[in-house]
Amino acid sequence: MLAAKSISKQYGQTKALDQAELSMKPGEIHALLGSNGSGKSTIAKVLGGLVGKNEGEITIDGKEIQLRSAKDSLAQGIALAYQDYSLVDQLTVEENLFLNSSGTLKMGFIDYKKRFDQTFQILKQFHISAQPDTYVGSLNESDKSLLEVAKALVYKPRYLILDEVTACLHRDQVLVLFDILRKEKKEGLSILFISHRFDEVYELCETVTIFRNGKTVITTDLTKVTNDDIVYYMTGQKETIKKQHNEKQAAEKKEPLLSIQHLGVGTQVNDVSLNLYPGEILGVCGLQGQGQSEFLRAVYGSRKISRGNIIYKGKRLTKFSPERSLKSGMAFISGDRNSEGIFADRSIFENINISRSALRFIFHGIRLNKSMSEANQLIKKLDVVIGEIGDPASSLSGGNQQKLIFARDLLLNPSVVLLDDPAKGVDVKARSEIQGILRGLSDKGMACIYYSSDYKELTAVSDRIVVFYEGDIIAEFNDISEEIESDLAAAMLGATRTEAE
Amino acid sequence: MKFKAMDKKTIPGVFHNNTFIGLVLIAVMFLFGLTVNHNFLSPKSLENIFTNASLLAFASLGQTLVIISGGVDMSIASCISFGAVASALIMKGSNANIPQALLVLVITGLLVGVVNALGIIYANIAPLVMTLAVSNVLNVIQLIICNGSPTGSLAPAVGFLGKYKLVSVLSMITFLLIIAAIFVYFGLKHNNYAKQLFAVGNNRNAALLAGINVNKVIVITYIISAILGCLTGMLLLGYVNFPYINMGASYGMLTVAAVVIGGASFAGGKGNFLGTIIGSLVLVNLSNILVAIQLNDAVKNVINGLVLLMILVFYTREKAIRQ
Repeated sequence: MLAAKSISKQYGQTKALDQAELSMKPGEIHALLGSNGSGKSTIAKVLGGLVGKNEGEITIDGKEIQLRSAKDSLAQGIALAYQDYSLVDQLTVEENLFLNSSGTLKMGFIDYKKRFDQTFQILKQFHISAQPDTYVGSLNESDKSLLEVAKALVYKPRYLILDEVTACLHRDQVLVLFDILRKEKKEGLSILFISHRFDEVYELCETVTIFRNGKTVITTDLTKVTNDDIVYYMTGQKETIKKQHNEKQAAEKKEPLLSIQHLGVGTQVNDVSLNLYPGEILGVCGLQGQGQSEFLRAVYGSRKISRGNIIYKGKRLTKFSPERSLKSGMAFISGDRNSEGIFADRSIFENINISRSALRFIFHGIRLNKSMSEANQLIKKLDVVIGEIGDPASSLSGGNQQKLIFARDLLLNPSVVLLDDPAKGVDVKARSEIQGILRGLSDKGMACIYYSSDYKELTAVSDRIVVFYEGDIIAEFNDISEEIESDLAAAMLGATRTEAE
Repeated sequence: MKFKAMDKKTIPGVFHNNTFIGLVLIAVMFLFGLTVNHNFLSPKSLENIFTNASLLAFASLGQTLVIISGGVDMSIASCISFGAVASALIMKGSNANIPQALLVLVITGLLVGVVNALGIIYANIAPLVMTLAVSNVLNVIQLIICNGSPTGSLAPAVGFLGKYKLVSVLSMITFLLIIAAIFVYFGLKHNNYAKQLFAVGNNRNAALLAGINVNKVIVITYIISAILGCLTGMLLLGYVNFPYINMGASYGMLTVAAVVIGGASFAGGKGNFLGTIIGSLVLVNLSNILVAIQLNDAVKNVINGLVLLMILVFYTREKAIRQ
């Protein structure tokens, strides 16, 4: 039996794990549930030897073990399949599977023929449509997920940890995987299954541990708890799930500013329809990777649309690009400042003025005095704390950098702003300031679609909230108050869908 | 708070200011040159240094823009060679043929720039590889148009630009460079293209999301670089007086070195023309000093390499920025 006792882990100021308890018995499939940031992935990484614990002990069959690296964990028989893969794209399937174990040796050399055959068998078993010499980079996401599990199994572990490996899998692939896992279980393997999908947990697992804010809330048999109980343990609030519809309120509103009809984006967004009205802040809620980011980017024109229509200001959009969107008054703000927002080496002024530059004739001159004073006004209005306007943007804190991006878009007087988790990694004060800015603008008729991974942030700022789950909108909330938070949390995990089925 | 902010700006600022350090470096080189050769700072010698540095700076102007955009242009040398050979061929010693020569150079530059940029953008070929390939093609074209031995000669007007001395140390070429530098300085400060160029080089994703047509900016940048390369070829012809094959070959790596010494970052998003001019001066100075020391070529090359390495290690150090 593998047991983790009173494990604590601190990342800077935040406590990811706080006296967490977890145990895995041989021949058992154990579920680990919890909302975002409850410490599920952290405990998986602690057991996998990737993250060192601050406190607590880990024992196998009563003996304490030290896990200082992934190598230590593997030596103890603990293998981990990651949500974001540990595969090397530039190597073949076979090389990836045997990356850390040479496989069968023949006179001290790798027995390539046997290894090839083994790989072939594994691919067949997992129904992966690839050859052993296919490069992993050319596989699709679902095959990679399966390969990640197969790779963990190649180590012949006694304890297998699966961190959200089913997130990209189709239903039939999930069934194949579950068959394999059940077979391994009969042979004595102990499996920890981390997932956001309730239905899968009920289907596969016998016991469950629920985390909340880094603490273990309960460990119990799955037969003894209901869906509602689980939501209660995860959120700490007892609420039944009800899908709210308030068509009347929607009908009272004016013409929609932006109407999205049956939008699809690759495999990430299936079929999303929604209307956005002037002066409205529409919250988009959902766990990571449910298609929200792709949805917002598709509307903005930085990702290709596969299906559906977008009607904006009464006209159907036919050509998409960020340039066109900005010209027509649609702005986009990403929470991923470093890679998608800020020009760190360039001055604060340039960071603010760049979108305006982008929309004018490319060799057009800039009237520095006028532009500077406009930028200065915005800096004052948004209360950005800066040294000099000519300093590089990297001299500012994260929250102030984010405000610069707001200033950049406000300079263009947009009528719709799409926000992709804009307050990510921003401190509380800046976050509430950003929300204040949005409220002020929406009172003047600007409309926003605001995605956040934090539902508390959404209930604070939105007029209406839709919940994304696996590329679809599965719930809509029209009356926003703190009371709906537990419903939101449940809907984020697809709970309403489970009930409907 | 205020004190701290000033601290950060003034004290390390000077030592991290590439322009300042570059000027100090040049002064040190002048002094060193003087100890080796008493005539090192004579008007004639200075005029020679300035003119050669100006030619290099002209060739590096396009490179500066390309490196700011996050790329590199290895086809500049071949553009210079082609520019010199082609313009001699077309001008045939007559001022009346200069417009045709300019037209051919500009069109060639346009084509080279477009091909470079399209290969980089659409075929997704690394800039270094793409521009080297184009450079090879252009070198062969240079050979084909003159059947392997350049003919023709420069027009008197071009010779005037290349050789005329205004005042003792100021040649026409240096004068042209000063005008170009002023023009570029204000252009980079007041022009949309420049702002977009820096943005594209600094953070391409963010540039795209901020509404910049990134591909357009890159195409324009490579076109400017190639056209300037071809025109530099004509100027070089004016300076040297007669064309020969692969005239611009030595400029290839020198332009890159000048830009990098000038404080631009290979990662893109940083750089200015003043820095490039200083970089050109440093490079020309260095090679002149090595000539004055009268060492054999092999030792000269080794010292040249070592000094450049030292300059790059100490001089392009980044001030730590808050992340």
